[in-house]
Amino acid sequence: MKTTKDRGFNILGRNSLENIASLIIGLGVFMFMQPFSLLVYSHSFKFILFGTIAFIVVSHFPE
Amino acid sequence: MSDRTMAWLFTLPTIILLLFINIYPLIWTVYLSFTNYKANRRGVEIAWVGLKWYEKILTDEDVWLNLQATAHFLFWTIFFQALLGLILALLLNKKFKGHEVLTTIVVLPMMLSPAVVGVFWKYIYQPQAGLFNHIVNAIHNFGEFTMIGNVSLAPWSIIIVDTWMWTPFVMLMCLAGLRSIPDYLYEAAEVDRASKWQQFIHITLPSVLPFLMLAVLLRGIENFKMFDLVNELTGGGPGSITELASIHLKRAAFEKWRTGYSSAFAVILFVTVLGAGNIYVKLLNKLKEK
Repeated sequence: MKTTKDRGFNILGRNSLENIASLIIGLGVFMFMQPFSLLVYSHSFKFILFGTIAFIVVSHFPE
Repeated sequence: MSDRTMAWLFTLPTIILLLFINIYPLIWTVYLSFTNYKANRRGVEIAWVGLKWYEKILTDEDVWLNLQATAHFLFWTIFFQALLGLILALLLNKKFKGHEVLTTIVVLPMMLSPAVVGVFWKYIYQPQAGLFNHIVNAIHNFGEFTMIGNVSLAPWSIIIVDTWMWTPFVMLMCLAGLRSIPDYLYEAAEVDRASKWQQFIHITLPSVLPFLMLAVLLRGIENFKMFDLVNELTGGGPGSITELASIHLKRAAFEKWRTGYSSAFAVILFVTVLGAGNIYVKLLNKLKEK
């Protein structure tokens, strides 16, 4: 049976963190190329850069 | 000499070469993106400008429009190439007389140089004598029209050419996937009385999907930095309606000689492709695990 500690570890596990980083990158890429708002476009690169760095760092964590 | 030393000795020249031709220019570009450096003004002292170019690019409406043009081009080329590539692969996977010759003919466009294809299609799109207008007018008489010179048709003209050129690549990848499916799976499905549609959904599609996704990844990266074909065909025009990100970059770097600015734009595009590529590879690995 999984303990609360195990569940906590799973939430912050490599896979979950990779998913969060991927989500941030995806959001950033959408913001970068969307045709709706210049303001959203101007903030897009922060999301992409942060997401990409986070993804690279997190993907080196142990399984 | 130990095996480890031998391994290092053999790989070291390649590592040094890669560092010199890949890593050094990358670091140099990142450095230039924070400076006012102009490649046509040598000898002038390079001044540090901080995030000036990044701020300029990320608040410039023209660059934003260029990225929208890139997104439009990227979405529709990938969509048509994936769809047509899969259909062609399914057709050419059937054994019929002359299917090998037909496969060779279908694959021909991707073997041509993009610059040659650009020039070649310029003649095909020619409003008076071009083959494209003749064929379209034979189907329905639209009168005289121009694909490249028209603001609403020009983005579609580059999509048609890229789809014509690169659908065979997607088809080849899908064909590799189709040929890897063992026959006994279909035989077992027929024993279980599965319909052709069920066989396609439960056997063919899951087997081809990793190959199709890999093709989409490769085409996506290529089309994000598409330059030669579009530059030759429309040159970014009319106006800047087909000015994709890479054409904007080339104009800034080699026509306006704004090296610092173009370096910053190149870094932004590089990080975007890297980030999007990471997500895609993760998805691809998940699909393979399934």
